[in-house]
Amino acid sequence: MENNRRDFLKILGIGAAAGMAGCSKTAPERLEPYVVPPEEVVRGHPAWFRTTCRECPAGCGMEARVREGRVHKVEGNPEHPVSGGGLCARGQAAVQGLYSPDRLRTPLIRDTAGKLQPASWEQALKAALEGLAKARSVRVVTGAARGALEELIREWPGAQHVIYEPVAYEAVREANRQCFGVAGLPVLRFAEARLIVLFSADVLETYVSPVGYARGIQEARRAGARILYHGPRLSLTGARADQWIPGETPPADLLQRMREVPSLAVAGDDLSDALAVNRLNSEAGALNRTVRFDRGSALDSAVSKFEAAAGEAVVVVEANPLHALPAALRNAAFVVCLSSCPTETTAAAHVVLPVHSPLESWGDYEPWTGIHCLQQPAMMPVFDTRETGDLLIRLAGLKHASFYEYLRARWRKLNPQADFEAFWAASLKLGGWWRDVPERTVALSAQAPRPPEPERQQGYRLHTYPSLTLFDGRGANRPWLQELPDPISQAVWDTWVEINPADAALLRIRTGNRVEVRAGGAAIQVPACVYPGITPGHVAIPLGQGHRGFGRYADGVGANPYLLGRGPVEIKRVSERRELVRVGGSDLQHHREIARSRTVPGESKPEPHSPLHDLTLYPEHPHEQHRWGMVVDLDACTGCGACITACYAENNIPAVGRDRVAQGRIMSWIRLERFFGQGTAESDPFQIDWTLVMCQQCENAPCEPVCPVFAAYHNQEGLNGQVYNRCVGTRYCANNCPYRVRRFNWFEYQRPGPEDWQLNPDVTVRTKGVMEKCTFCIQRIVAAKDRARRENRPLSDGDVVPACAQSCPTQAIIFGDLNDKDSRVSRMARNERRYRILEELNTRPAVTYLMRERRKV
Amino acid sequence: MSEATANLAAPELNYTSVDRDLVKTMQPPRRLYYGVLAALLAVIALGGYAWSVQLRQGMGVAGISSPVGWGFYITTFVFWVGIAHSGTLISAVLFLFRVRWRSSIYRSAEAVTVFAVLTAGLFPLIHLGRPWVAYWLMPYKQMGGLFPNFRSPLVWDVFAVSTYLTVSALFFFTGMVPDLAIVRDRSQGWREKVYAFLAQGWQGTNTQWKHYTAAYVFLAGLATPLVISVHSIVSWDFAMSLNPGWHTAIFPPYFVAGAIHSGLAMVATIVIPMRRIFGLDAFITREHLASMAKFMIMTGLILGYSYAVEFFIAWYSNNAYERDLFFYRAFGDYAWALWLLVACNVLAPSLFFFERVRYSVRWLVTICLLVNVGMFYERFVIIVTSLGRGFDPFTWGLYVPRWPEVAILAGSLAWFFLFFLLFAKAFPVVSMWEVKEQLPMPGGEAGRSAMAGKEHP
Amino acid sequence: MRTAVLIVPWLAAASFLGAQPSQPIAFSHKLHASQYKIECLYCHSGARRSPVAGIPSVQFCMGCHRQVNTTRPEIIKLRQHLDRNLPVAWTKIVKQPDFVFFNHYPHVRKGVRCQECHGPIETMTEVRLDHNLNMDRCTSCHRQNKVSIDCYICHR
Repeated sequence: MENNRRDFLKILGIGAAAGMAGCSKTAPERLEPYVVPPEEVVRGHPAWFRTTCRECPAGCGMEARVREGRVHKVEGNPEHPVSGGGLCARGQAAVQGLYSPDRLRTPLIRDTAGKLQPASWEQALKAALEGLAKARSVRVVTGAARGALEELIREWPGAQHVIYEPVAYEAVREANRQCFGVAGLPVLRFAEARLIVLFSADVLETYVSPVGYARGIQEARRAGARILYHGPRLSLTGARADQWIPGETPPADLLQRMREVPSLAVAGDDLSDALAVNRLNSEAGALNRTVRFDRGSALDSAVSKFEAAAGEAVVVVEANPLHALPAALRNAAFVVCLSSCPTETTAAAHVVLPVHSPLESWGDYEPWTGIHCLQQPAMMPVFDTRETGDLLIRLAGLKHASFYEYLRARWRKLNPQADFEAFWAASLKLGGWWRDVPERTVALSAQAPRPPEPERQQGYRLHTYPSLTLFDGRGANRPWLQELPDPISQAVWDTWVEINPADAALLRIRTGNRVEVRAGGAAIQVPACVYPGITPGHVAIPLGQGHRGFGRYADGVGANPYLLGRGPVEIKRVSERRELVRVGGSDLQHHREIARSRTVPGESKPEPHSPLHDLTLYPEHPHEQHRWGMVVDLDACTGCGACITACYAENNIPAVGRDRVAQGRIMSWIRLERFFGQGTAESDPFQIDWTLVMCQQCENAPCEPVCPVFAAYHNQEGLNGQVYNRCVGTRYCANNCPYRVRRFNWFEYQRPGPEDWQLNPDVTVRTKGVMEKCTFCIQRIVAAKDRARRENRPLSDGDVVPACAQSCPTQAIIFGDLNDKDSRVSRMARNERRYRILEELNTRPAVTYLMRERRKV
Repeated sequence: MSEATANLAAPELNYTSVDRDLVKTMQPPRRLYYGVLAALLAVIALGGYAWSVQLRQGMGVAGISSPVGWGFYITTFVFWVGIAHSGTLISAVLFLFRVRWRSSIYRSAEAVTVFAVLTAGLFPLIHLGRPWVAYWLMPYKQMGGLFPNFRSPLVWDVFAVSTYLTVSALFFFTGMVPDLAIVRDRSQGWREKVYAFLAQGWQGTNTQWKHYTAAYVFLAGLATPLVISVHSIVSWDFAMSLNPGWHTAIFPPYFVAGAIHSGLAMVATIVIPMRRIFGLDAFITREHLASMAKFMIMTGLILGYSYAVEFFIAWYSNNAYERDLFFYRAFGDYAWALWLLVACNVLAPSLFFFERVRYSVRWLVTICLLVNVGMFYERFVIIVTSLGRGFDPFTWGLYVPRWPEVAILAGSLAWFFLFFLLFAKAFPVVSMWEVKEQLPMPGGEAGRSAMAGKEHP
Repeated sequence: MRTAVLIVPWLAAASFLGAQPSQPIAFSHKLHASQYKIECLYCHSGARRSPVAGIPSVQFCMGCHRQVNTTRPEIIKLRQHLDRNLPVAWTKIVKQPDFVFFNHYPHVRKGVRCQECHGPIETMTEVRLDHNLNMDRCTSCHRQNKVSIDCYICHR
């Protein structure tokens, strides 16, 4: 008996072990080296390709980081005259346009039943050519495309080229035409101004060239400049200004103040503002100094409205007019749409031809005369798409061999004296070619009209503005941008209408209530956002949502305020349910001094908050070699969110979607904390302060002692490390973090292909159940050390740049070695504006903040 | 009748009737038993299903989030660990203090302890993001040389709760040995074999009793400090953090008092129906229940004092974060929970000052249920308000439990009651040998002198 | 009974170590590294400067095999890969989980022999894992050689 029992147990045991050993086998992984490797590509090292960002008409320089033939991240080109190394959130999200899971993969032809059916390239091109041949006339619609593409289209016999941009600054250009005889946008030299006056011009967000302007304004700030913002709505740019003058009447002494120092006034897209600003600039001496008309802008010939004529064939190239102008193609006989992603316009086309996204294309773009930005493919096309220029050559029946050859020929003509191949190689390496242009001065015309009186109107005055995250709507299919909280409303994945609290009280509206905004025949329903930063009688709605047919991330999200036009609107509450998804718990700081600012002159040097005691239970950490630290200059931070999006790209952070953000599960490692406030005096107006909060890498980290498995630990270089594979998910570390910067993976986040191609191979993709947080881009620290080792030199200041710091247009985030007393970060950490968040808790954070200044204007 | 029997109301109790009546509770059950068993299994299955959904999809199916990363699960964990303490208090501490009235209820109370710890032990697994690697909390040298972090209160919990389980289980089982022998002597067939195995050959000889009582005292002495230490260690899960409302030295005594309070309430909640169903009025008299009620007055007042001290110190400290948090607790989003728990934990048991209330079974059951609810919400308020109202106002947030958490809470209650249900039919729910200690020995004075050697402490 | 006790462990061992996954081309390290004494870093040049040692491309192999042993069936297979522009899908033998970022460069730089971790490759006709490359191996060598055992050097 017993023997049998023992044998039975023995076999059970061995069998179980055998079973488990067998179970540990998984499907074999493959290793596939190149057949013919590209020259100079070292596996494991990235290659950088310089190109141009095409996410808006600004034309900032961009570098794409490519590993083994895939673009993982884009960064700013430090040698670019427009952006100087910064790249805004929309630029960072360009990779999501490249890897959009909704990208068009085959050509489409509309069948007799009216549905778009997949077709082969031959069929589609044949159908397109037939349709074009039959039409009475041809109109080609593109966005701002100044450069080889525009010239190519000009060669199209009989075709009319419409440069369509929903945000075209026509009012500003018209005012310039009336005042100076030049119907174009001027170059704004912010760096030379010491008083900057903005008439609802959101130059730090979306206005014309925001990255370049932010850089220039920061330079001016460092030299003591003051910024005044005048307008009915306190935008993010206005919140960044030293003073907000609400309402519609500019201050009377403005001209006098502008005369005192080199100054500059800018108007948003409103005719009366632009006329007023032109007059101010002229009389204050800014004209031809800080406001120059030497270089024309690529937007100078853009229109925001057009309509296809009857019997016309329209070729729409990487533009989406039907979002803002639903009736634009109503009369067109035939529509061919060249697009990388499906849009409202492709849905209405007869033939759809999928084209390369900008990161896969050749091209050039001239945002300002003489600034020739070159665009080159950073990787092979992801799908079976074609070069836009090649398709246009074919459709137009032109004789060029390829767009690439056409581009090179054009560049040969641009700089005829140079050895072309050397010039071409140098331009590709630099990102373009910039040349000086002859000076041009203008003067205020005698016939320049005075700005008209604002008209009285019934109802609320509606301001629609391009959204910081989605711009004019083209960013709506990028989940990173949808999830980037709007700094003013802190809302995500939605459209909202900003209403003054007094107006909201009258209408019995609270933040989140659904309201109907009606303008004549058109109406949209959006949640309300009660905002003290908008003048009573005015409401504001951001543009960009309300798409249909723009992909899974854009469809069904928000509403489309383009439909409302520009006239007055009526507001009515529709539902009491709170529908707006916002990040952030409280709009007020409750005197906790998280985001600090001071008024200058006036407030004295700030007292640092000393901790209640200096004791630590555990021995001090020796930082023998490096001690990584960061300084965030809140006076330079414009709140644009480029750092947040860059972090998403660099660290494989998932976008979790609207519902999960509503549950508080947003995954961003760095966040913008925006607080409403009042100045110290009763009479001080409403103001906004913000700060950037990421893991503070505390020397005395509260998260470290409480992790039961040492997943949170302190490394010898001052970093607070998080080891994903060791984390068991107790979440005690997150509960003990006073800054609440730790993010937990509540789910396993799926990325539909080819979104997973974007993932950074140097950073683990986290599974559900583990905690993550900012690591100061440890992968970049390690890579920099590797590079230094290879080059047989020590690490120097500036070798390590985390993704957030790299992308910031104003260099508000500085990173470096605190052990090196001469490093930039050490010097800035000694600045008199310094403070630390929650310093009194004795966490000893490695992040120092420089408080923001409000300079008396 | 000696003073020793003063607590027992039924004068006709004798050794034989004790054995007979208490072994009778282990007879095959009626239909109601099976009905309740099925219901409990169903609820446990629901909880299990909820956990399986959570394991498959991630912790996100629950309502916890940022900033409130701990919610129902940790509340329930502390709730059950707290309940466990009263059993040990009654069985070990009151034993060492020679309190007579504990004798008939301590078996059920100790059962409550063991089962509550078994229930509580589920929750560290349930609340983990990756429970399949929970064994990393065990003290062994992992590859790479890592032991668990002994500085972490969670690792202290591992030791505290597992020690508590071990000692309580040993104490529980050891205390049952003489009774198991009685059951063995009255059983047949396979049951006899099982109880014989469990009784380990107990014959009731002098030597055995001598060793036994020494062992019993030893185990009681070992279990006694655990009553204070285990829940103090669990309270350090909160006290060792820096959150306002958590970082306070009052937590160990506060939690221990709360634990005893909730434990007494749960023991009463179990014992009163059990008494009714099994007809144990002779053994568990109103005097016993009234004694428990008096104990609850004391623990309730300690709790009330602790709450008052917490609020006072928050104000007195002049620390803006503490003041703001306690203001939020009293008047903020969860104020309803705070006032509810004060009413249930402090005001309700104060009614026990009235003799009529103490001796009324209905009042007892009601107040004890209220105390259970109140003690659950006490932990809920501590956890959720402190996490949801931290230092940085931008991070403030709410917690709303979702169906998996409610299902698992219900499942844990069912799990606990299931153990008790099985226990009630497998083992004697009242300690026969300890009750008999209170009775005159059979054979009157002659019997007494015959058993003179059998002195028990 | 006795046979059962003998067979079962063998099956288990076989399932763990044996059942060697096959390679698409029967490349022999024994032939190339031992007999012809080709240095490791000649083919796996990435190890000299990059985290990834790399496997030589088809073009690289054809560098010799355009002339050498061109009629052997395995070389013909290789030639076909080049002609059809198809990469060779080698089966990965030396694997680390996703959360381990091993960097060849500092190890090669310090003079750690390939055989330390990869075993006596030059004796292998078919590459196999001679020993378990687990964390214990890494940390014990790091400790012995007084190199950092900071988690971040491998886990990011």
